[in-house]
This record gives sequence, C-alpha cells and structure tokens, in this order.
Amino acid sequence: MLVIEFLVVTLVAVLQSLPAQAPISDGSTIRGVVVDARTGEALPQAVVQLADREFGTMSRFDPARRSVAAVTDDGGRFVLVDVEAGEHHLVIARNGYVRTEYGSLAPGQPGTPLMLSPGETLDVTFQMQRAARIAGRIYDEQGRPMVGARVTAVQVSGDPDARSPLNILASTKANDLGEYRLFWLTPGDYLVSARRGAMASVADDPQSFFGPARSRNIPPNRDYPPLFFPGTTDYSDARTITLGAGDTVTGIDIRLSRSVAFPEIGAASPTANPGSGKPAPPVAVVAGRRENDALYFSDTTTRARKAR
Amino acid sequence: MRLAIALLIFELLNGPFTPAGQSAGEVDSGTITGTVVRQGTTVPVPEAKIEIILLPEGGQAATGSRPATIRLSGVLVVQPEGSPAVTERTNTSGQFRFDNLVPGEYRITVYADGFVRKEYAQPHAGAPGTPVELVPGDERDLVFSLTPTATISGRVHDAAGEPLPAVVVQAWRSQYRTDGTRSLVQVQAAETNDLGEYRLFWMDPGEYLLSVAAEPVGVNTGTYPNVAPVNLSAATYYPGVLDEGEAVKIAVFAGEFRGGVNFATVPVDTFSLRGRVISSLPGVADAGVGLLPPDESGPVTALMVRTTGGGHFEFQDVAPGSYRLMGWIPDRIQSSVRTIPVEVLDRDVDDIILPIEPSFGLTARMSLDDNGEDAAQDWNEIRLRLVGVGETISTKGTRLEDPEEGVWFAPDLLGGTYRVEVRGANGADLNSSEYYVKRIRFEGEEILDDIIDVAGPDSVLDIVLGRNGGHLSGEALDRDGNPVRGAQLVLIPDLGRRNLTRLYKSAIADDAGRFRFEGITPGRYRLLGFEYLEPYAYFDPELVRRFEQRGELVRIDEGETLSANPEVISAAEIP
Repeated sequence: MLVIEFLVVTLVAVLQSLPAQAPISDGSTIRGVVVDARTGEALPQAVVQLADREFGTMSRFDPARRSVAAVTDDGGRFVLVDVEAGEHHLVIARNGYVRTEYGSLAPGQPGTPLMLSPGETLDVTFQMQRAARIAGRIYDEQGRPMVGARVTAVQVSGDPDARSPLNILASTKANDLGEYRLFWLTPGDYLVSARRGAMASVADDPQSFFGPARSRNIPPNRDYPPLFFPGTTDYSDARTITLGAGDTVTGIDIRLSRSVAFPEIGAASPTANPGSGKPAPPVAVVAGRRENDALYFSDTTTRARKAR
Repeated sequence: MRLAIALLIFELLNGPFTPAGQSAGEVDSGTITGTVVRQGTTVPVPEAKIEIILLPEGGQAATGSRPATIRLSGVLVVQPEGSPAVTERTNTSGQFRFDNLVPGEYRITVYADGFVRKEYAQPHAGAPGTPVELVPGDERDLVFSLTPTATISGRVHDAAGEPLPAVVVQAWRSQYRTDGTRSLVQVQAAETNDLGEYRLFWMDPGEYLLSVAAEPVGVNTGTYPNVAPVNLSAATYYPGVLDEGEAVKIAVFAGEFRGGVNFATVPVDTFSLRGRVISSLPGVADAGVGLLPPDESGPVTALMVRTTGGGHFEFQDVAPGSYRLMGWIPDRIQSSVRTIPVEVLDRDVDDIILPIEPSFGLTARMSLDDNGEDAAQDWNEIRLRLVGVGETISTKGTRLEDPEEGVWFAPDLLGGTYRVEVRGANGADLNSSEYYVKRIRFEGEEILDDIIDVAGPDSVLDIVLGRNGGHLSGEALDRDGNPVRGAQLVLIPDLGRRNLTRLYKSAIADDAGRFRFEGITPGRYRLLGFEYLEPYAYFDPELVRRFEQRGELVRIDEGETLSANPEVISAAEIP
C-alpha cells in the first residue's frame, strides 16, 4: 500500500508539471521526408511530433494521435493530418541521430515556430546529424569494477551567470564489469565525470542492493570523491573529449580513488594520558556523520582496528 | 528516542575507558573468527563484509524499539535505534575476526560482490539462518561457503528489428503475498544501451520472468539526449509475449552467465478511456486521474491526466487489459483518493464515472477478555489497521486516541470493504505475541470473517482480545527421528476457519529442532512441519490441501499447553 501512496504523490507531482494538451484538428497537413545529413539516405523509424513550445521535450509517442505525431516509413516519409492552423513547433527524433527541430540552424539548437494556415499543406525536409558515443570503464584503486558508478557527460557552460559552470548532458550507470556507454550525444566538446553509485558493492551497501535491510548502520567504507577524466577533481584540469558526428570514443576509463580523504568533522592523534605518567594507549577519535537518523563512520574505524 | 552521537571513541589497546557498571575484562568475552570461501571450493573470498548483530534475550533482533549495545574491542558501542550491527571485512585469505564480544546470541550475515547474501547456518537460500551462541570465553571458528550469483544478458529490439535503447528490462520472481496468493516481485532491473543490450547481474540462482517497459515506475535510470520516444503501451515478457501466463521463465544456476536472452517488443492495438469525475467536493474540474495496473504485481507503468471542465478525463494509447482508475482532488490527497477497476478489451471505453467522495473517521474500541479478569492493559502494545480488500485498495492505520480505555480512531477513511487487522507492538504480526482476537463486532453485529463494509461516518467497531490463548511446543524431527534445525512449523486452522489468516501460526525450529507457539486462538488445527517453505506459502490453499493429511490434528482450548513432535516434510517433496 505504501507503493500506492507513493504513486499518488508521484502522479500528482508529475501532473502539476504536465503541459496542457496539444490542440486537435482543423484540416492542415504537414508532410515531409527525413534524411541522414551526410549521406542523404532516407531515415525510417524517425518520430515526428508537434510540440507545444519547449525544444527537446517529447511526450510519449502515440500513433493514434495522427495530428500530433507520426513515424517515418521506409522511405523516410511522414504525414501529419488534421493539424490545427496556427503556430507549432515540430520536433524530430530518431535513435542514433541528434534530435532536431523545424527551423533549427545547427544540430541541437532551438528552432523556429512553423506557421500553418487553415487547409494548408506544408512540405518539409529534415536532415539529421548522427549522434556520438563515449564508452569506457570505471574501476577502483585495485582495478576492480566500480559497479553502479554514476557516469555523466558534461559541458562547460559559456554563460557566466549560470548557477553551475557545468551542464550535465547525459548520465548512465556502470554495470558489474564497470563498463558504461553514454550514447547519442550531440557532437561537441565534453568532459566525463564519474562518482561512486549507491550500488558500488553489495558488501558496502547491502540495503541499496537488496532493498530495506534490517540494519542501516553500514559504514560507507569507501568514500570516493567524484573525478573527471582522466583523474582529476578539478574540471579545469579535465581532458576535453571532442565528438564528431557519428563518433564512438572508447577507452574513457576512470580510476576512482579514495586517497582523497573522507570529509572528517573531527580527528585527534594519540596524546599523553594526563597525570598517569605513562604513555597513552593509542586512541583514535573517528569522524562520524548523521544521515536519516543513522550514523556513518569513516573508513578510519576499519583501518584503525586492522592496525592493531 | 533518537541518539545523537557525534563522536565514537575507539580504544586500540587495553585502555582506561570502561563503561560505568560494566567490566571490560577479557575473561567473560568471546571471539568469533571465520573464513569465507566460494561454494564447493577452498577459494577464499576477500573483502566480504561480515555483519554481526547481537540479539536481545528472547531471540528476535531489535527492530527499532530500543537501542542495542555491543561491546567491541573493550568499548561500549551504542548503536542508534534499530541498527545493532557491527561489521568487519575478510582479508586476502578470506578470514575475519571479532574479539571481545559480549556473550550472547549473534546473527551473522555475509555480503560479498558476486555472491548470494548468506546468514550463518542457513538451511536454504532465502531461509532464515540460525544465531551463533557465544558463551563466556568461547572462541568460535566458522566457515561460510558463498553461492556465486548469476548473470542474464541479451538484446531488446522492436518489432521492426531495431535495437531499443534506454528501455528497462526487469527481472521478476514469483513470490507469495502475505495472504498466500502469488505476485511478481521485481528483483533486478537494467537499462538497455544504444545497442539494445542489457545485463542483469548479481542475481540469486533461480527462475525469473523478464519484461521490458518504457518507463517503469520507481526504477532509477540514466538520462540520454536524443533518444526517440518509444511506443510501449504494454510490457512485453520474454520471449516476446504480452500475457504473463505465456511468458517463459529463465532459470539460472549459481555462477551461470546466460547470454543471448534476446526478445522483441510486441506492438499492440491501443484504445482510449473516457469518463468523468463526480464529487460533492469542489475541484472536479481540476482533479487528477491515474491509470494503474490492477494490483502491485508485475510491471508498473502509470498514465495520468488532469480533468477538464465538468470533470471530464481521457486516456489515449491504452493497451487491452485490467486496470485501476484512481481519482483524487489535488489539494485533498489524503481525503479523496478513490479507485475503481476498469477493463479494456477491444474498443474504446466511454462514460466511465469515477466518484470521489469526502472521507470520514471511524472509531474502534478494544477490550480484553482475560477469563473474566479485567486486567489493566497497555494498549500501546497493540496496533490496529484497516486493510482494503477487493476493490478497496487503501489501507488505513489508526491512532490510539485513549490509551486507558483502548479507543482508536481511523481518520480519512473512504467507504469500502476492509479487513480488520490487529497487530502487535511495532506493527509486528500478532503471530508472535500472547494476544489473539476473540471477537469483532461492527454496527452491533458479530463479524466472523474480519471483513467490514464501511459506508459512512459514525460506525463503531468493537474488538475483544484474549490473552489466555493456547501453547504448543515440541521438536521437529526427520524420518529417522533426528531434530531438524530451521524447520518451518505451521498451525493451519480447520477448514471452516481457513480464510482467517490471523489464525495461522508459524514458527522456525531452533538449532535443536525445538519450536513453540504462543497465544493460539482456541480451536482445531493441523500441525505441519516443513524442512523449508517459502515465506507465506502456508496460506496457499493448494499447498495445504496437498499436505494436510500428513499433519497431526490438534485441538487447543483456552490456556491449554500441548506438545507434539511432528515429522517434517522434506524440501524435495515441495513443488
């Protein structure tokens, strides 16, 4: 039942962000052909959709709503019938290509609205540019896969007023071999960043793998700072990966390391036992942090015990 | 109580720190050491995590009621609520060691990447393990042999043969629900890459159903630019069927890599659902309506719309099947969620009426019939829930309004059919407490099946509990008369009362095969013992029918104590 209540909240949250429904019908037609920008080859299976406004947001594809969406046939052709006259945005997506919009001057750039008079038939041709991929492996100091590591492709924002200097364009998770594939990136310059995911290890974090566990006090023994390829915490030192249309860049491997310390909130070194005159036993004060009413302790506890 | 410990002090040698009132002497403490190996080999498993939990006296792990304390390395470690665990990792030889442990019973669990989680002395995967008993001065040396996990991988493509990227492949396992019916539970999910490839890893050996869906609810996926929207209005099961009943199970054994599990999605004709929300509440013109699967079994994808003027709503692109329509008025989520079932066959469904009514409260009174003695009762030990049945899907908790008089109140209840469920402290099953439900009255009528139809406010629910139930104890034996550690013992009520799940009692035999049932509702039962049984399988009438003649018939009166030594049914006999 918890699931249902969660669903309701999710549904409501999504609903509140739902755009108004697209207008339906009055006789205009948009038809056209979609081709590969480089080869001129017709592209079947491209999804053509009328969008309300925003570039890039496509709703669930619905073949029944012929006035709103269509798929290209083997000849790359599509027809939208009964389109309401007025101003529309037209978005085209096809797996393996960069999503584009009517009137866009460059791949990945916003387009211009399309004006349709009543009863008009508009013929359009779309050229689509091939998208690119980055693949690699995320592993730890010992070369073991960082299972579930979160890998992101980011671009440095040209906007000095932006809240963050980096824009995340794509993200994915590494599998049990540490492998990832970031696919269908718009050609351009990227940085790749990786951080430990919730599922880095069953042993580290059983509850995230097996669901709610009896015990929540599992210390995250490995605390890895996020790194940029090829292995820096500072994005300005990161290597830029330039992707051309259709490129697949492999071997973008990142070795995550916990040598950069856990952010400790307290630490102490052995001191003399006051008044006893004897040397003090080694005592370590270990940093802990609170999260959701559970306490987590840094890896020092394990190392300290092992040092014995 | 929440414990706020910011710092933890570890003594590395015999230091001066001793908790007040306790001696940290070596004499009375114990040691647990052990080795973790790959099953069937002597190959050590390094970096495995060993978790030990000190069980409070009585055997059950603390589950949130009070903080547990464990002395480790001579230091008193106060654990926050509900997490009385201490952990250690194996070295390169697969060995681990816990020193200076307080004597007592420990539950030990081992986790390692690529292996099935293992508890100490677990008779079967999924079965509960047995605690390790540590007496003063004990040094226990244990061996854990871990089962390697399996991998399933393959490719998903659409009907035209194109790889489907960024869709989610889910692995499902059939499990018993708490009422003995079966449901599909998701155990793993993986997203496909640009080649349509998926890889489901760290799977327990066993049988799975696979499905693919576009946007399953609650699965954390990646984000990819430029992915084309996909037309997946219904989940497709491996090897390419829409009906769960026609799906082919994939069985994987320990350590198996099963590649090439490829399947294509099935295109379906879709239809529209149209209807209207009606309500005496304001806000029907802006109500939310969700389309959900019929229950929580199997793939969950949800569609949602908002009503327009007059409360009208429409869903397009709906695949044939059974659904629930859920309606709510956004500003009044707690009080106005309403669900009705809907069936989509081979055409559009029109003129659906989805009523959303205001909710109301219900008062319940509980009393204790303790053989005439009107003993003082701490009602805080008891919980009361109303569980929706049939078309009523919401479950409502109640709050104790008057701890002296035993008065509960359920706010925000909707008209519908509910099962009255009394639970023990912390919401635990009444199964393990000394209480049992004697009588339930609703609107002045005796309720025999625990089910009440609530139509409106001002209804009164009366519940009488007993504390003088029967006891049954004994020893679970195999065919040769040897005790069976970890056996599952079940008390099944006689035929006329078999629909009352609260009458069933289950217990797990300890190290010596001993078991004990408390607070048995007086009546006739069959006592059955199984070497191993899936959780809640004893609610499955088919399974019970098959084995009940093997069980001993017992009649237990109020306050009576009986003993019996059942012969367990071996795991090999259970389907």
